[in-house]
Amino acid sequence: MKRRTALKTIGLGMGATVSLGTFLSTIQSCVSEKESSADGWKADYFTDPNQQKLIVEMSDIILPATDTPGAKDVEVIKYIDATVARIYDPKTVERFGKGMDACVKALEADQGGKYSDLSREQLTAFLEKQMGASVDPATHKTRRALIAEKEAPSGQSDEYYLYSFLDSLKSLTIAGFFGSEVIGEQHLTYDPIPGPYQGCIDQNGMNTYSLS
Amino acid sequence: MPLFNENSPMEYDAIVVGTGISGGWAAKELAEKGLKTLVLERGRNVNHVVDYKTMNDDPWDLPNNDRPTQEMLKDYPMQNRTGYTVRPSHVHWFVKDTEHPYYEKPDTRFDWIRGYHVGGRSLVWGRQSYRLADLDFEANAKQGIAVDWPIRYKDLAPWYSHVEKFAGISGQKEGIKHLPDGEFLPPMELNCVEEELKKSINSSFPERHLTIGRTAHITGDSPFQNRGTCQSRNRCMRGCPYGAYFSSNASTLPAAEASGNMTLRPDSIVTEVIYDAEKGKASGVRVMDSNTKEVYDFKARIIFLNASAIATTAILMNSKSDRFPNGMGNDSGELGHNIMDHHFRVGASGDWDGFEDKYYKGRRPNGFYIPRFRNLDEKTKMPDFVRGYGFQGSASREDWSAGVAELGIGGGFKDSLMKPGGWRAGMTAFGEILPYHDNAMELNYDKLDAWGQPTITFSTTIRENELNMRKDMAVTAGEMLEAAGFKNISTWDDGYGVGLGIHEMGTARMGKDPKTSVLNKWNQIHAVPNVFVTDGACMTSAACQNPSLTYMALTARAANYAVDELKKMNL
Ligand SMILES: Cc1cc2nc3c(=O)[nH]c(=O)nc-3n(C[C@H](O)[C@H](O)[C@H](O)COP(=O)(O)OP(=O)(O)OC[C@H]3O[C@@H](n4cnc5c(N)ncnc54)[C@H](O)[C@@H]3O)c2cc1C
Ligand code: SF4
Repeated sequence: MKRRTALKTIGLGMGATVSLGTFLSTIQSCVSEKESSADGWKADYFTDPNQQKLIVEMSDIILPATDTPGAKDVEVIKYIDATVARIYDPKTVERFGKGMDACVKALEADQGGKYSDLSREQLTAFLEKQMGASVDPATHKTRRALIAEKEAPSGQSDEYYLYSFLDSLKSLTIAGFFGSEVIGEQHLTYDPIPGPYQGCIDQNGMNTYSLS
Repeated sequence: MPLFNENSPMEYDAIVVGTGISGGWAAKELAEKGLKTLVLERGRNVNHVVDYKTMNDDPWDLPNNDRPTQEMLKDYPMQNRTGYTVRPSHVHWFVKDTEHPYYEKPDTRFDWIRGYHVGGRSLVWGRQSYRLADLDFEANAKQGIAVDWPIRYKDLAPWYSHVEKFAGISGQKEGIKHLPDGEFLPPMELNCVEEELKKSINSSFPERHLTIGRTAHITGDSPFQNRGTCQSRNRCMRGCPYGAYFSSNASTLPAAEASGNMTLRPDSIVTEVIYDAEKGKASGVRVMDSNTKEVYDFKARIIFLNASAIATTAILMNSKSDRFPNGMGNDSGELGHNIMDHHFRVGASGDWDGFEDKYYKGRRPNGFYIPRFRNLDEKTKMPDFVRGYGFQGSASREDWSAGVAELGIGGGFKDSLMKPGGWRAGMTAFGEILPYHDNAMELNYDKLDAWGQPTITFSTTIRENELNMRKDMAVTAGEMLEAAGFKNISTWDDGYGVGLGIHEMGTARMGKDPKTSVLNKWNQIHAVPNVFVTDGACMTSAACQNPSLTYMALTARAANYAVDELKKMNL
C-alpha cells in the first residue's frame, strides 16, 4: 500500500492516477434480496444469492448511509462484482475466494449459526471486532504485515485469507463508493474544469476533490 | 489535414517519416520554408479534438472505472509494463503487442512503449521539457566515454528558443548553468508543502534547487496562436480539447498544413529508404499501405527520418544495398547500438504535519523538478558513478483511499473520508544511462510481422554506473525530505528495465568521425547526406533531462540547414 500511495503522490500528470468507482445511473435502494436488480443487472462473480447478500450487507456496514448515501445506495456491489470478475488477475481471484470462505467460517464461529441467517447487528459486531476503530493498533499492524506476504505463511492460513479478504472488501467498498457518480458529483468536491492551478487556498471545510 | 489521394504526386521536395514530436517539427519547418512535403505515418489518422473520444469522461463514465480488464491486458503484455498505459481512457494511443510483437535476448529486458497513429507519442507524453547544457554535451569527451558530441550548447541554444516559443513551455527562470533557462510562459504554482520543501532545500543544500516543472502547456493570459490555456484537468493523455499542451496534432501539423505545402499519408509503413548508388544519395522511400499491403515508392530530394529512435533505426537497418550491406549509413557498425534511456523508479516519500487548513485548486498536470546536483564539478564529484540525475515529484493531500489501511468502519468513518487527508510528498529520480555498445537491437528476418517485415530483438541492461547511481538517488531523496521535516519517510527502488523511461535513444548517434558514428553535426547520415535523422536515434549521450525538447530543437535546426543546402544546390 505504501508504495502505491507513493506512486500516486508522484503521479506527475503522467496519467498515473485514476480514481475508481461504480457506473450507475439511478440510485436504487437495495439489491441484496435478489440475484439481479431491477435494472436487470446480474452478478458475474457473486452468483450465489447468499454470498451476494453478505457482500452487500458488509460493504454497507463499512460505509452506511448517514445524511449522505451509503454503499447500498450507490450499489457498490456492482463495482465489487465487476472488479473480482473482470479486473482481478486469477491469483487475486483465488485469494479472494479463499478469503470469502475463511470469512464465512470465522463469522459463523464468532456469531453462531449459518452466515446467511445472521442479522445486520451480528455482522456489524463481527466486523467491528475485525476492523473497527477499537481494534488494538498493534494487532492491526501485525495483520497488515501478514497480508503483505505473497503467500500464506504456514500455520497462519486462516488468518491470512481472512484479513486479506477483509482488506479487499474494504478497499473495494471505498473505491466503488467514492468513485461513484453520485458521490463524485454530488457529495465530494466536483471540479471538472478547475482553470489555472492555485497552489495554496484555504480549505474552508471543503470535501476532497472527486477527480484526480 | 490535407490527405494524400489518388491525384497526389509521387514525387516531393521532402519526405518526413513519422508524425510524432520530431516528425511534426520536421513537417512544419520544411513545409513553412516552401518545400512540398510528404508526411508518412504508419498509423491511422487522428483529427485534433474530434478524435479525442474520452477527453471529457469522468471515471464513472468509463468502462470499469477506467481500469483494464484481464481480457484487455492480453493484448498489451509489454505496454502494460508501465502499469498505466492500458486504461480505457487512453489505451487506443498504444500499440497492441499482439499486433506489433518484439523480442528480448535471454536475461535482458527492453520496454518499447509506443503508439502508431498521427501524432505518435506527442499525444501521450508527460510534457516535461528541459534544455541540455554543455555539462551534457562535453561529458563524453571529458570522460573518454563513447564518442564526443559534434555540437555544443551554443549550436542548439537558438533552436531551443525557436521551438520553445512556438511549442509553448511554461517554467520558472532559475539561472542554473547546467539547466539553462528557456523562453518561458508563466510558471505553474507550487503548493504550500512544495514551497516548504523548496525553502528547506535552498537552505540545507547549497548546490540543490527545487523549481516548478518546465512543461509544454499554455499558461498565462496572453493569447497563444489558436490554442487555449491549460485548465488543470490532468487528462492530457486522452488529448486536450483546448489544445493546451503541445502535441503534433495541436501545434506543428496545423502549422505545416497552413503553409499549403504538406500532404499527409496515414496508414503508410515506411519499410526502407531507397539508395541511388550513382548519385550516392537516397532517392526516396518504400511504403507499404498498412490496410491494403500494396507497396509504393515515393521520391524526394531530402528525407527526414522521425519514426522514433527504434523504428527509424529499424528502417535504416532494413535499407540494404550493395553499398550498405549492413543497413544504410552503417559504415561504423554503430547503427542499432548504444541504446540509452533514463533509469528511474527510485525515490522517497513522506508525510507532512500541518497545513491542514490549506488545499489547492486544480489537477496540475505537472510537478516540481530538482535539477541534477551530482558530478557538476570537483566539489560534487561522486566516488562510484559518473553523470547524474534529477528528481520529479509533487506534494498533495491524501484522499479516501488512505482509509483502506486505517482502522474504522461505519458512518463516522465514512464521513471522515469525505475530507482531504494529510499532506504527502514524493519524488522519483531520472538518471543518465551511459552509451554501451552492447545495448543493442537487431532485425529478425525469421520472425516477420503481419506485414512481412522483420521484427526487432533487443538486448539491453543497465550496469554498475547506473546501479551505483540508484543507491545514491534513494539516499538523497530521503535526506531532502528529512531535512525539510517530513515524517514516516520511506525510500524505494522499484526496479527498472531499459525503455521503461520511454526515453529510448542513441541507436544512430551523431559524431565527428564517420568511423565511429552514423550522423554528422547536422544530423545527416555521414555517407548519405540527403537523409536526416533527428529523433532520439541521433543522441550521442543521454543526459538526465527529459529529451523531447532536444529532439524538437535538433529537428528544427537540421530542417533549416537542409533547406539552405537545397537552395545552395548542395543536396
Ligand atoms: C507516457 C509517456 C510520457 C512521456 N513523458 C515525456 C516527458 O515528460 N518529456 C519528454 O521529453 N518525453 C516524454 N516522453 C517521450 C516522448 O514521447 C518521446 O521522446 C517522443 O514522442 C519521441 O518523438 P519521436 O518523434 O521520436 O517519436 P514518436 O512521438 O513516437 O513518433 C513516431 C511516429 O512515427 C511513426 N512510425 C513508426 N514507424 C514508422 C514507419 N516504419 N513508417 C511510418 N511511420 C512510422 C509512429 O506511428 C509515430 O507516429 C514520454 C513518452 C510517453 C509514452
Ligand atoms: S490539464 Fe491542461 S493540457 Fe491537460 S488536458 Fe487538461 S486542459 Fe488540456
